[in-house]
Amino acid sequence: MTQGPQLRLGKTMVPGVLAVVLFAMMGLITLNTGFGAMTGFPDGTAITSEIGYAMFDYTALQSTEGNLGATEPFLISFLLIAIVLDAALDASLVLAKREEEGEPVTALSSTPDSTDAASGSDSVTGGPGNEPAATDGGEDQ
Amino acid sequence: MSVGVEHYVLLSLALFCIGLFGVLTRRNALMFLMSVELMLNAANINLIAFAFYHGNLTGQVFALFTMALAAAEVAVGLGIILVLYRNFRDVDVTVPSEMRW
Repeated sequence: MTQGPQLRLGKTMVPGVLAVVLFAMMGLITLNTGFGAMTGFPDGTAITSEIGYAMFDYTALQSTEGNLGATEPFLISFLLIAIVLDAALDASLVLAKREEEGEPVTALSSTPDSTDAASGSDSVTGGPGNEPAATDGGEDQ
Repeated sequence: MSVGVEHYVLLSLALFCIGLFGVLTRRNALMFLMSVELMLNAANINLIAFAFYHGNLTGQVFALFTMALAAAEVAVGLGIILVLYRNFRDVDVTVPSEMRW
């Protein structure tokens, strides 16, 4: 059972060499690329309000107040992200729900925890009649 | 400006590789999730650095959306880890080997 974050040296670190190699290779490529100077934002531009204009499609305000060209409008993306966040909230609530004897239990309710910790392999190979370990929580106490 | 864009790229590359290292070596699902977050934030640094480099704000607005997507991903990921712990009494990512049990 995983107890917490601990540094395990040895064979498990071997795949991590891939990440180090990737860093070295991409770092060399980055250092050898001539990027040139930063364009930057013109002085006196309110970046935050410019972001707001771009996010809510205020193109008229963008063209008059701002002197930052070529920032695309993002209203549709904003609405899509709102829907995605809503779906994620629903998904997390569905995932957090569980049933005990047919009764749904909400995510924040607590029951006395059962002490018999089922090992993972038992649950993997268990048949359809085998209930998951958590659903009989508190029954044997 | 004295800080060139290549320094930002190197920073984000380092962050991405730390995240990749975590994904490749860790078995704890929570550490997995944190590593994925590091990789997402590396992409954010690149977006904002190149927005400044090109002189428009598209990258910055896009980084905001990426942060919202990361929040959605964490919500679903934590829910999955919760179910994982409930069914296996463990958050080791190598323990569940099938989609249903």
